[in-house]
Amino acid sequence: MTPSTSDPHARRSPRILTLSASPEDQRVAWLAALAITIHVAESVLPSPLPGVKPGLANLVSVVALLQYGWGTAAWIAVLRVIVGSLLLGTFLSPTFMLSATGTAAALAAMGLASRLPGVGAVGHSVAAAMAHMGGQVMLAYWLFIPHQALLQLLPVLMTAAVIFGFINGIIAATAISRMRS
Amino acid sequence: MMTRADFVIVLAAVLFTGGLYGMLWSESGAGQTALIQVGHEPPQRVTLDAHRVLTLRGARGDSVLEIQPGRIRFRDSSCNHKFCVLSGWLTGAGASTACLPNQVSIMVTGGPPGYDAINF
Repeated sequence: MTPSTSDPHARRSPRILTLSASPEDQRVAWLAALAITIHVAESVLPSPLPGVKPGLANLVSVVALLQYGWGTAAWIAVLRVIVGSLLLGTFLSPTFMLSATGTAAALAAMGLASRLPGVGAVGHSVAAAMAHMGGQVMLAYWLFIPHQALLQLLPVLMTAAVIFGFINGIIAATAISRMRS
Repeated sequence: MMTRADFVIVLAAVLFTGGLYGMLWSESGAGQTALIQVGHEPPQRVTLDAHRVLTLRGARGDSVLEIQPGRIRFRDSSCNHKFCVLSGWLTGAGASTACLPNQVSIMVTGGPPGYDAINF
């Protein structure tokens, strides 16, 4: 007799795949949820210029990088971009591509910054903000708006990136010093 | 709050941004040619090399364009509000203005012409 799906013995011993969430997984989930919340909340803020926003969601990545390492920060950032775009309805749209490219560039910049000795939250945040803006503008110029006027906007956008990166860095440094005390 | 390395990164960021202003906002990228379009006719390309004045016949009357080395402007146009004249000299590549009532538009071009924007 060949075993079949109606065999009562087969049903009594089902194969169960158990996924256990490690503390690391739970930490990523919590922090990603926080980052996504900030990301969505921030998307309703009015912006003086397209592409300029405070980038507060990256605060979570900066804090996570300094507390738990680059891997955790990368997980949070990637989840935030994907889930955030699903919630906002921009998944796979140009907005999403810009966001994903900027985030990839920011993660690379933070990875480089964390290899340099003595770089704290402010350095990470400024590097990430500038890389995010640079990556975004380069993609926009290459793919969407190959027009000289876009590059003329770059200095203004970079100024915003430096200012917001600095402010976020101060906030992140404050948060970290309170977490460690 | 800020380490010495942070200070160095912030300083480098500020200097880099300042450099971008110098590089991208300098007038060195002045256009060499301009495209002029009147009505639905194909645009004509003019070189911005020497001083001259062009008078074009538009939908409502004459538009007077003035060209100097590296720049072009509407000197006068037969329209009511003169927005085209008020927009002044166009210098950098990509700069453009138009006299809508008279259906005359000009755009300074520098490098090879590309798309204005692409959407998917």
